[in-house]
Amino acid sequence: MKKAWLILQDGTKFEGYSFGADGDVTGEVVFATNMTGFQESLTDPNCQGQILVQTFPTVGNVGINEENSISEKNAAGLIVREYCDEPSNFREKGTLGEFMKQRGITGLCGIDTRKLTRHLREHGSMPGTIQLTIDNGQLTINEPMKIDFTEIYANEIAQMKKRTESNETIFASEQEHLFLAAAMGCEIYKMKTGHRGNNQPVIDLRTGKIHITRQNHGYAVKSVPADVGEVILENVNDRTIEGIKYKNIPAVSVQFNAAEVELCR
Amino acid sequence: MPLRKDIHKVLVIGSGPIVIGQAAEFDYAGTQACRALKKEGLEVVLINSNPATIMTDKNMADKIYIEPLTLDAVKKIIKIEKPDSLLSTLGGQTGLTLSMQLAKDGFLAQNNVKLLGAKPETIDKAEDRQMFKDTLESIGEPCIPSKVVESVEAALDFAKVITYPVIVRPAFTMGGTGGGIAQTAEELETIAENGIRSSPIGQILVEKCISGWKEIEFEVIRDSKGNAITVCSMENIDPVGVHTGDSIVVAPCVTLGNKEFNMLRTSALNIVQALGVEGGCNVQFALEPNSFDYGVIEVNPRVSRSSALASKATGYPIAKVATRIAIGYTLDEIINQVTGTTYACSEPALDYLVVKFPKFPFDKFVYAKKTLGTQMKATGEVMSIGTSFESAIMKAIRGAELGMDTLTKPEFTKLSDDEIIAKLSDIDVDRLFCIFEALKRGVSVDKINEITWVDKWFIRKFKNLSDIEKEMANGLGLTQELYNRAKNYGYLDKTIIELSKQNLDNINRKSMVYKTVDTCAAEFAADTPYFYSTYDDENEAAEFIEKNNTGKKKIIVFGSGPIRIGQGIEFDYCSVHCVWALKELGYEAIICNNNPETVSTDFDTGDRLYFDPLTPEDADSILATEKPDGVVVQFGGQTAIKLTKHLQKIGANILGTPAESIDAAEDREKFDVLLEQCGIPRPEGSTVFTTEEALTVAEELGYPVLLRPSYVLGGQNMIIAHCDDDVSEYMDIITATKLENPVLVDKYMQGVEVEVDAICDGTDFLIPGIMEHIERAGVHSGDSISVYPTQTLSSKIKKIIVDYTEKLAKALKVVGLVNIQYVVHDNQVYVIEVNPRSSRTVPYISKVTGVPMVDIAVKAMLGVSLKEQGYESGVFPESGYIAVKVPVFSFEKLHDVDTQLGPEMKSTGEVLGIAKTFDEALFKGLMAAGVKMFSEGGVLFTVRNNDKPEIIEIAERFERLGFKLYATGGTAGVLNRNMVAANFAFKINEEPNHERNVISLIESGKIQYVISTSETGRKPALDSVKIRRKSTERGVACLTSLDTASALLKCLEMNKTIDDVEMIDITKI
Repeated sequence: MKKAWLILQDGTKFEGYSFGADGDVTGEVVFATNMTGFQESLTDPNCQGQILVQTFPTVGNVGINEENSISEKNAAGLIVREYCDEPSNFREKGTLGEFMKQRGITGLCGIDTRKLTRHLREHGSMPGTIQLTIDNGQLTINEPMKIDFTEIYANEIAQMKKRTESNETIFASEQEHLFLAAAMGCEIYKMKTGHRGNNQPVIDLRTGKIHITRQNHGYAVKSVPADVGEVILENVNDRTIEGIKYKNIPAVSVQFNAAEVELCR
Repeated sequence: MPLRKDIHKVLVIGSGPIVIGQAAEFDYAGTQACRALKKEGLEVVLINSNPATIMTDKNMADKIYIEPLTLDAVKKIIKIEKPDSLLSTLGGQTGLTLSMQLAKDGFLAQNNVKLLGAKPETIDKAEDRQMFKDTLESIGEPCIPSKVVESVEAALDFAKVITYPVIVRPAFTMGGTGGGIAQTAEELETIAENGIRSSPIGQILVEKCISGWKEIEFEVIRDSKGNAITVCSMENIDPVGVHTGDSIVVAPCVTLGNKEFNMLRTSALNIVQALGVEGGCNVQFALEPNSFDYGVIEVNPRVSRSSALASKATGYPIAKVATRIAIGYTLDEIINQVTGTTYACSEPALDYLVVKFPKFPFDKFVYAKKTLGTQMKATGEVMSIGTSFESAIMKAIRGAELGMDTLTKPEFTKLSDDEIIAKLSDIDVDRLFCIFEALKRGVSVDKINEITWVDKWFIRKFKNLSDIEKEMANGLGLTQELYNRAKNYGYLDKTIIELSKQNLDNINRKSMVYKTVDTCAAEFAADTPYFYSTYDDENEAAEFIEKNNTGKKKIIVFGSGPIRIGQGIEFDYCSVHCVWALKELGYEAIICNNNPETVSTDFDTGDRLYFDPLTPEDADSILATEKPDGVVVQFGGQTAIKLTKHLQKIGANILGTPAESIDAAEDREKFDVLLEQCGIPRPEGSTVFTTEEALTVAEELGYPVLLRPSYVLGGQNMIIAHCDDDVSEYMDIITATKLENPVLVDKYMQGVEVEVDAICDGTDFLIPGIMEHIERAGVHSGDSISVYPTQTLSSKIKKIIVDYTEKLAKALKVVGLVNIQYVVHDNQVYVIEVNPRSSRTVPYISKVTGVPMVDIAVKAMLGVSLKEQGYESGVFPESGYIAVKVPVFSFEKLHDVDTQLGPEMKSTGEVLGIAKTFDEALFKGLMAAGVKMFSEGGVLFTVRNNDKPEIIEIAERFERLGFKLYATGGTAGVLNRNMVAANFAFKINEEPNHERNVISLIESGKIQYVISTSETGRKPALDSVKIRRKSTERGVACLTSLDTASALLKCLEMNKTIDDVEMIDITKI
């Protein structure tokens, strides 16, 4: 395996080995704590352009399978502690590394992912680059990272705005939840590290019932003006907004993957 | 909902003695429960017959009854205490079954006691095989084709339909007692018969055998609002068929894809909802490896061994949360103690892998079957945490104290390739090592998978280990890169040196660093210092120590590792008390241990917890990070004691008794010199290395002689030899493995065995109590019924014992605890053994005498003299109560083990009977140990020649009580000649089918007690062993010492029931 490095914007370096696609990659480095479903998180549209760190210590163990739900979008890079190149699963149709080569996803393995995660937790998600050579060790990012949600997703928000004006019944989840909130005039902010994992507890404020949810987001709704809607779901741990019922339009939105909540009740 | 307003006084039922399938995990759960209840200001009443537990400590509950866990005793205590609630789910199967019986016969309702934890409907739905099936069907969850039957015929009929092999699971038994896999109708007949007998309701489940499927477990917790989360998933390396307690288990699941994982997770949550569990619940699945087919194997609606493991594996305290749920709280109201900021409703996320490795008793039971099946055989387990699977399994192996630090089992290296491949098919305790040997021989991963059904992912991981071992041994030299890789796989430097036959002079050595178990994969900052080692760059423990510098002195306490026969829960009790005492004295107490079942490894017991193996190199690393002011080894049994030499070598400050003294007590020659100096006699003897030497020495001493290896634990491999053949047989077994230390041959002296635990501060000594054994010397002290205070010793003898104890303690410079065993023979006192450490009897003596022995010892070790602590030198005044400790065995779970008691320890646990008179205490003790008191029936005698004169009186007493006597040839002759009417019984081979053949008699139900002693034992083929095994299998009490028989008679002659004896709250002693 070839050596490779992760260099974060603040200059922190990690030395490991390259896997997946060759080539340097730059993106926001974010961590996810899910213990299964690396294929799903890697191809989650929310991860587009990001370098995803999996906190689970071994990744690739079940290989890649051909689910029709596999999305066209994916993260730009993947960082794992141990990359497993010999998967064992009855549905396996190739290794994670091969898949990453096809998709052009650069991988870095063999680093202390817990150290990296703790660093991101303390300092917040930040840009970084995976590169196969190291010269001066300085990370220079040509363009500053855009962080204003309404700017990055102006088109999506505008489209959502149109839908709200059509009197259509809307149920929005994950990114769409944010588009809808932004379209309705709620403030969206960038979280320090975000929620990425399968274990986020969400409480339904109307019933007190808790759902364990799969989440993958780095932005959240800051507040909901009383005339716009009502917060119906909150994250139990950090009390961030997880669901909104709107007042003047027939719309409800949730921040998490709603299909799985249904599945797990 | 917060704390329910209608709960004020809660009764907690413990799980009783440690037996296979029900061990220290319930002390851990029960202790958490009691503490959680007390924290809420509730009054706690506790019943548990096991005195070696933390939960029966005075500060754990308001009222504590160490009484038999029988329905009558519990009812009596409920009537006395009038609790308003009963917590049913923390006391294992024992607690659950008792609670169920109390609820079902209306007793709880009549006495206005609410059942907390699990409702009878829930328990029925989970445990009654038919209701369980119906419940699963009603929610569309698949189960394995099976049928509940109550007769062997019905079992055979159903097996014909579903085809063999089939699994038999008895209803309402723990650890799968009485179950098994039947390949043929013949086998099914035996297993079904056994199973029906083992089940308290005579019910078994006959189930399609799904060999080769994966076994997956989920630990779920649910509150009264219906909120439920999965705390942890676990995967057994061994496919379905091996009891999960005997399996090597990995947490979380590593070979499941997202889809099948979520399928099972959802199923587990659905099941727990359908059952209406409020608290912890364990759900076991079988998953076909090549499809999404699965079936639910079993559900346990209570905390369990698996929940203890899941708690330690994730940092999520299931028992504590379950207790709080039982009294009204919901998951979103309970703070996650580890992070301090998140809530109990987050599912833990792990960024490491956990391996659980079972500890089996087969090093003691050389003739027992080592095959594994649905009946659990392990006595304990270790857990290990690593950032890779390889490093976790390596830690598990060296932590399990198998004498191995890699997966290479030396005896397998001698087998041929064909033998190894053939052996791969054996499902036994050595299978992992056989797979490893096969890999070393070049057998392919596919082939091993085909034979064993172990997932290829695991086999490839084992292959990584065999590959790197080959690489290290290939003679090409150890490069830095290879060394680094080996470290990441968890190899110790010592092992790398051994394998590469090279020193590490040119290698840049890597040292261990520590990472935190934080429930959340570092997503949130953790408050709790729960660490494990890895070879990485960041040392979170060092960071924590720096950040939280209290300025206090730091002491490391080394724990006792996995529970095994001879080293049980008592040592965890002592370790935990040591930690508490240190904390109270203003020290920082740091624990190192690797047993997930225990209180010591609860993350809030010590100031810091290192969950790692107890080997010298692991200890070095902890010392390097902690830089402690002192270390303690005397409370962690032989496991911690073994570290003494090393710790002394590296200059650690060992508190208490010096290392030289520990050595002097174990080294035969040094010990003899010491005894001579003190003028204390010991039984004559000598040390030998070969069979010839042993025979010569035995000849000189005269038979019987006692043979044992030096450096023993729990009488490991100890026998009494009556003839040359015994000596030869023993020496052949013991010399089969390399002899590092000599074998001791001693004159065996029959007499009263006396045991003393003393505390010494270097000047003064304190003996809290002197104990006397009911069985004459020759039965291991752990297997004897032990009585405090002594009943038969003259004051002169007691004086000599006190005098010897003082002399020995002083000569050995004991500071802390010392345990000494004596034998009184012909009015002479001899020393048998001295252990300068805590012992098995410390918890019970502490409880009965009210002398907190470990606390005092710890204070003494830190320089507070006994006088300063307010204790006079000498014997503590005798208590007004008599306490009788009775051993408990797990023989029904270990096939082919001879149940005859001898110098080798066989018991797995103990109970205590406390009363104002000896007879009542004995009665309670025997009752608690499960001995049934019959007033009529039959007694079968078959005893060795030496015992024949004594049997006459015992037989007479049984006869007087109205029992019908049966005896084999010689024994019957002796009895009849002495005017005791005994019916003649045929020996096994004399008239095999005759109704008076011994086996037929035992099977007929006509026999209530068997009294069987024989000169030789152990070998399963012997008649005497067969008779004792038959009794065990039939649940007939079999007494193998005339002293035990005489003690039982005493109780029978009293003709009392539990109603006639007083229940004693030990907090008032």
